[in-house]
Amino acid sequence: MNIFVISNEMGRTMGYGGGWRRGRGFGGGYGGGWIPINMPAMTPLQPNTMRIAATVDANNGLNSPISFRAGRAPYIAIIDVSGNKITSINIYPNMAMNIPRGAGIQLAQWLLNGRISIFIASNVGPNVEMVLRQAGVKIHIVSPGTMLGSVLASMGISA
Amino acid sequence: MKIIAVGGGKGGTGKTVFAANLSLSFAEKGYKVLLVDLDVDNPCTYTLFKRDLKRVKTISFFKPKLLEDKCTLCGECIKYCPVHALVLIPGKKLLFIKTLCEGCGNCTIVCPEKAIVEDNMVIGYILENRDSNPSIIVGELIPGERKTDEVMRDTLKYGINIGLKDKYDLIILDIPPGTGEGIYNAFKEADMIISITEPTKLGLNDFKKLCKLIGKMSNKKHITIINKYGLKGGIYRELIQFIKKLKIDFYTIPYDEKMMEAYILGQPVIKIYPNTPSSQAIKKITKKIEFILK
Amino acid sequence: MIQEIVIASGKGGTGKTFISSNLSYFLLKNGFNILSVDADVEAPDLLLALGGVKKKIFHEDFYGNIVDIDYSKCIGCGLCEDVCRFNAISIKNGLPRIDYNSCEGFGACMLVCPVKAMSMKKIRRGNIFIAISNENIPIVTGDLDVGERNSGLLVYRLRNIARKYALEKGLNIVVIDAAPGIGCPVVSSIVGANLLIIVIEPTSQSLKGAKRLLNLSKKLGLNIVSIINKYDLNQTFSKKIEKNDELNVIGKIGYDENVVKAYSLMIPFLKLYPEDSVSKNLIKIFYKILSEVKS
Repeated sequence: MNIFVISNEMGRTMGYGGGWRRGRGFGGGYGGGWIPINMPAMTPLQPNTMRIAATVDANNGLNSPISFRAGRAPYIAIIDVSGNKITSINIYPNMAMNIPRGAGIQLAQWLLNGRISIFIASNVGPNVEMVLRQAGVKIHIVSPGTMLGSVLASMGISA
Repeated sequence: MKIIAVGGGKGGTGKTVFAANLSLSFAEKGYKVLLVDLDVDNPCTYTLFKRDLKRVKTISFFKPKLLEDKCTLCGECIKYCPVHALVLIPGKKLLFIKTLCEGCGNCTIVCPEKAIVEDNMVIGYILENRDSNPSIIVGELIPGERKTDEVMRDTLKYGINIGLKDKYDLIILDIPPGTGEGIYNAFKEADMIISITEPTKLGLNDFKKLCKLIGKMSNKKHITIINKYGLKGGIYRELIQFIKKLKIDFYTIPYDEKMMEAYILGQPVIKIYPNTPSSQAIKKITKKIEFILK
Repeated sequence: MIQEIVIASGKGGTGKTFISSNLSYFLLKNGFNILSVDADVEAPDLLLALGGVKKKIFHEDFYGNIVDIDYSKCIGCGLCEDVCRFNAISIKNGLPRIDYNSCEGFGACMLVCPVKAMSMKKIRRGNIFIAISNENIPIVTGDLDVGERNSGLLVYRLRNIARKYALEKGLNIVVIDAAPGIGCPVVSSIVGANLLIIVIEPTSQSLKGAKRLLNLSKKLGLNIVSIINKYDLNQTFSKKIEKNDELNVIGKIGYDENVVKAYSLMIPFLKLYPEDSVSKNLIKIFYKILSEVKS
């Protein structure tokens, strides 16, 4: 699924390590270039399945800690649940992370396109909160660092 | 009619005080003066004149309005919003996040159903008091709105129009601190730019950047005033060297406690302490400017 | 969890850089791992106030987008000029000209051009770098090129870089020195911060600015405290400001001509004159700030 993200910067950065990503639609630029960036496509939602999204700091399955960042968290975990059992878990890199402004909103649009019903995070900005609420998505706020598995378990969901 | 721009650079150097006193000084000499306060974030030049201001114009900017009954939820608009102020809840609703909107209008252009139309949003006001000389025009940004440059531009345009229409001799623009586009645009309209700096390390740092901005415009007469001259512990040699290197005409206003007192009392220093050194300096500078402008 | 403290004032020249530089120094000396951010991108001074550059460790150009016209395709219809809401297009000799200072690069003109003569182009509007200052404080500072727009976006980018650096280095406090006024760059400095410190001088102009800033900050929902700087210039007025509950005044410091000297030497006042009464007051105030931040 393409989301047209307005970001055109491919600034060369130098200096300390830590992986500044160079590439389409990243970095400090801003403006009206409508370059599509490929937010990883979510699989279509199966019948009788509920989809949960969580902002996490690592790509470690259920042992990923909830990030203290929301819109700019490095990874987004997408968990499909049927009954109370997890049917799939996919962790995607958050392509909205380095966008100069509106990262939360872009993330929210992608999540809505993927039909999520629950959003787990340690905090959520006022714009994203409004959007998710209007869409009927339940927002579950937890302490940053809590393991994804524990949060799901506390909601009665297990592997 | 001549236009003088006073300001830019570092905050707190005394731009507003100088602009107000210069206006009064010229007014006392018989010139018909219009003082335009372009520090729209926090206009306070008028506070030195103890006059009430009357709102004369509302400044608005474009904002889109969603006509929900025409919207087919096609999602075309969200592709072209550069700031993601539009969010589509698939199958349900299109949301517009007002605080993110920059007013570009792309959505109104691309909507195939013409379900997004032009609406207006108030971002500021123009106020004035032209009961005595100098006349005062003030631009004011509504706190929380981000269109400072637009409010500045509209206020400047209004001021110049009034100046021409009512045949003012002199327009003095009070320019806020900074070196951005709004300030650049205001400088462009002026016949003369007066920068105000102070003999401090930070003042010189910002002054260098301001000179770079002014240097972008050719044929602009630029003079600089070193305010608080004599301030203890300040830097002098470095500052004067820099000014001389750029061949800028400069004048000084001595550090004078009476100037601060006048400011606190909310009065122009040349009015309540006309014989204090800073007042004398301002009057001398007025004569010099008068000569240059002729 | 990273705490972000922003220092703003609504009016210029009240002493934001004085407070932010000395607060940074104080926190460093008290064992905090801090990062300072100079968000006054039109007139950045924080690096100077903290001793100047010892070592630059990161640099990034800041770009904006603008629209470019291919005149070989342009038919001079003028539709682009009609649709631009930023007054960036004017018609000269029948052909559109773009003012690159006013152009935001949103591209409404691109959308209406019937012959696709317009395209996006990147231009440099400023730069961002991280330097370790001579006081051993890392400072993220940005510089908007003169006459440019988008200072708010540059500040936004600055803060993202600052957050990323703070996360990577395990720093716990970020001190942000905001621009004067209440415009876009100030809003970008304040959004999402934990604590706002308003610096006020005892003048009606400064109080007015502080109230406008307060008004704006309430819409953004963050903790607010105020410091009265140079209070002895008008003690009666200063007392009046202290009585304003909304401003939550946590302390006041007097005017001291040694402040100028400290800047000239590029040494934080607290370091150069630790026994001065201003320093003593500053320290009392900074301890109060620490307790605000912890809660």
